[in-house]
Amino acid sequence: MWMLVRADSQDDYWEAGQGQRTLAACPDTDERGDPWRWTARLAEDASGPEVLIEADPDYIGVQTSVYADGHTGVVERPAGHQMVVTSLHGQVLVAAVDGPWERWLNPGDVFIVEGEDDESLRISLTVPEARVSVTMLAPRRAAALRWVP
Amino acid sequence: MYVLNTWYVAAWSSEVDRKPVKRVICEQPIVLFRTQNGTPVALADRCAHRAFPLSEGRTVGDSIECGYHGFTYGADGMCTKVPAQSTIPERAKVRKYPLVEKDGWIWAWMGDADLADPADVPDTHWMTDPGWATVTHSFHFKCRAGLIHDNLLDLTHESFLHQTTVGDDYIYEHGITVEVEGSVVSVDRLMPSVQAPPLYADTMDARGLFDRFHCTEFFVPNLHVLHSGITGEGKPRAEGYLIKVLNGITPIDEHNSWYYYAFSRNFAVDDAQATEDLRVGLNTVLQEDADALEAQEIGMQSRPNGEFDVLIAQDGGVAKARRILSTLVKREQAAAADRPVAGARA
Repeated sequence: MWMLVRADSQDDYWEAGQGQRTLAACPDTDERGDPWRWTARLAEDASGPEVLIEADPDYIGVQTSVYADGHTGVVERPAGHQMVVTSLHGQVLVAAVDGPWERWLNPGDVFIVEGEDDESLRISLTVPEARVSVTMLAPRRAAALRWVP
Repeated sequence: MYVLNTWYVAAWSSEVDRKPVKRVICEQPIVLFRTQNGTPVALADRCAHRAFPLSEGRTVGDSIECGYHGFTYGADGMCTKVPAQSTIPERAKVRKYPLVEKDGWIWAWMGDADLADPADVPDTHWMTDPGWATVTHSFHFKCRAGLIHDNLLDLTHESFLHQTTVGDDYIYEHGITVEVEGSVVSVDRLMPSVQAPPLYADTMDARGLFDRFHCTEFFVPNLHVLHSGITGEGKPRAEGYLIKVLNGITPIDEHNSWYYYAFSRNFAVDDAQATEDLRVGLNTVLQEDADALEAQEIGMQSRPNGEFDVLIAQDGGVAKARRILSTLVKREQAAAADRPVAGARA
């Protein structure tokens, strides 16, 4: 399953704090406690935008990479891992290597990919100034992290 | 609570003529009728005199006459005649609701009339496009509108609830993709290399393997457009046999909804038997939904406080739509709270 939430979505999140915007959270509600909870926020300061992930390290492993300089490459998402992709600057093309889907991300859009099968995703930056943040969320105490609405 | 500043399907064009028709939308009773030149009109269904339903009255010229004491209202809602006296009280008027008539549906705006923009009525042209054959139905669902939205955003129920009609086991075996843009939520399911469902096989002799797809586009809060069909394996969807299902969902109250349904296809357009078979078959499918959602509504009303739906990844679109709906309601409430009350002193 993947979910693309555009920056103009009226899917308003709760208050994220000064200078930050909540991009996504799982479980997707602020009312329920859950040790598997993670939250992705877009923060902006003088050095530019970055994605901040809040999660309990006992339950979720977090690995964030930022790609730039016209990078094009394949990211392997292992079964049960969740991936959060956000354009920090410029347009980014995310596509399933095995097809058939692909989507352009603009700054502020968030793309979440998950599922219980391995998956290969191609990430392409078409202009040198484009930058993209890719976070892999790994389950520490379970076989899989799944999207919980 | 309801989103009021939006267009809701109020009736089929064919349902509204010179004889007044009653509808309740978002708990507001309205009366619909046409003027002599055919223009549809919606007024509050409550005479200003003694609250008698105007829908129990009759049209006279371009006006509607109350069936109780004969107060008469023009198409603008202003009282034009009071029996037994020539003076018309200033307050003798009823609310007029903006309407748009398009492609066989009459849409009503239940909120602030100043915000009503006819350009915001969604695209429904398939219903009247000669390149498409259309079957229509309308149902009173005895459930809250939210349950219908959930139902349409998670079509895996086809494999179970509609097992003997349109269901196929493989539907739930294929994953979904969800997209959220503005106030539109789309849930897409691609089912590659599957046998064509009987509709295509019977009408178009479509044998062998095809890519099948469902994409529900929910224009929160009033319309779901289901883009469905089959196409050759790996071929673009636009080249396939296509179906557009329009689902106009109109809240009546917290436990009842109107469901306006139009199923349009771009194949076997002149096949009258296929159209009749679809009309009968889709009526069965909708009745299955109506029965299930009524049972669900009863279940929700008897559910203890603090017990919530246990949603799964498959419900990603459902949850996003619920959140957008909630946001739209909150924004309207906030805007209404900020608006000065007429006649209030600063």
